[in-house]
Amino acid sequence: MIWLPLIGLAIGFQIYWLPGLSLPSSVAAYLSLATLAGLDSIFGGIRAGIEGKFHDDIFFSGFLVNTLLAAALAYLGDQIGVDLFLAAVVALGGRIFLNLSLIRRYLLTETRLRWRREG
Amino acid sequence: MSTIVSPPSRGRNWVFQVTALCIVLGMLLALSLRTQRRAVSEGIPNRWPALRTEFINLKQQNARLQKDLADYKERYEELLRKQATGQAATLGLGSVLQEAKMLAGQVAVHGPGVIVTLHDSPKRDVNETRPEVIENYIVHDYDIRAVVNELFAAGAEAISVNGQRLIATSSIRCVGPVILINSVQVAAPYVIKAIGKPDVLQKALELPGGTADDLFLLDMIEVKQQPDIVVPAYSGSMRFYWAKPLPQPKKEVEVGR
Repeated sequence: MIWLPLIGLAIGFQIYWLPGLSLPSSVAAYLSLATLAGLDSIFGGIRAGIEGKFHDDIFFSGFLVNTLLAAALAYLGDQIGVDLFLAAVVALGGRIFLNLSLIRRYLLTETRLRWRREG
Repeated sequence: MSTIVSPPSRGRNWVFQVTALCIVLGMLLALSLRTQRRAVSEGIPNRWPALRTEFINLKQQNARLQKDLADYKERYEELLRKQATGQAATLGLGSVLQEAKMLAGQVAVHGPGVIVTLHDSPKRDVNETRPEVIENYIVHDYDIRAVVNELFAAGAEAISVNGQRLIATSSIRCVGPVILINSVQVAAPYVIKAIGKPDVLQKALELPGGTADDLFLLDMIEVKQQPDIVVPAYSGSMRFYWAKPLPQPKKEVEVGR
């Protein structure tokens, strides 16, 4: 079950990787940031799922809005000379690490509980 | 907070939804990676947004200028081509005009030919007084016409009589004791300069039984071949008062093509 998202990731990756599609290089940075935001949404979703607080509407809208907003904000920052790119990276990176650590804990707790039950 | 929006998904349902978005994320990741690689291969610095923006601007500007340069080059080539063809056309027209002017006697020309001198016969008996006999020993307008005609027939390209260039509208006639050529009075000796192949011109005049035969008999004519003689240009005015060119069907003027 837990491997399904990874398989999906691989499938989605192959869909775009194999044809060798790419966008103009000037949007590379924003695309990276959008990816980071997407990653954040995914981990947030996983965490919420484990916590039993998963809401599909929040999840999907969060994914869409976060990716677009991250790229748009970074672009805006570049236009007005403020490095919002860095700000987004820090904010998203922090959240990703936080979510990852929480997921790790939940999984550890779960396995520990299972061991105890079995043991 | 979350309960206000919608009830949480039950069971493991969220995994499928996460998977769905993971597919999208995978696409995004692949696209991002590809684009990033492209950016790196094109040498665009990813970080330092200001530098990157400037770099991209410069790159775009450079591309624009390169395109401009290509355009200008093309235009330059085109202009060169046009200039070349224009020059060829002008040259062609120039030579056509020059030929026409030569044909019309508007320019002085030089070349090999013959100088024919006509003078009254030295064989005339000084005691002869009868005008109808004397008449045979002097040069007449028809003698000149005959010689000129013979020279033209023999391929003379330019002829002058006592400095009067013969053109298409030239006339040779006598009025009383003088001869008018191009309506200009000329007097003996009549020096006819003709440009053409000297041999041919001379032989044409010396043809036995030819038009100039009598003149030779009476020693009134001398023909001298010359390697280079000058025939002057027609000096009178040449205007068309009555003749108008007939509208011609359009014909391509062949100029240096």
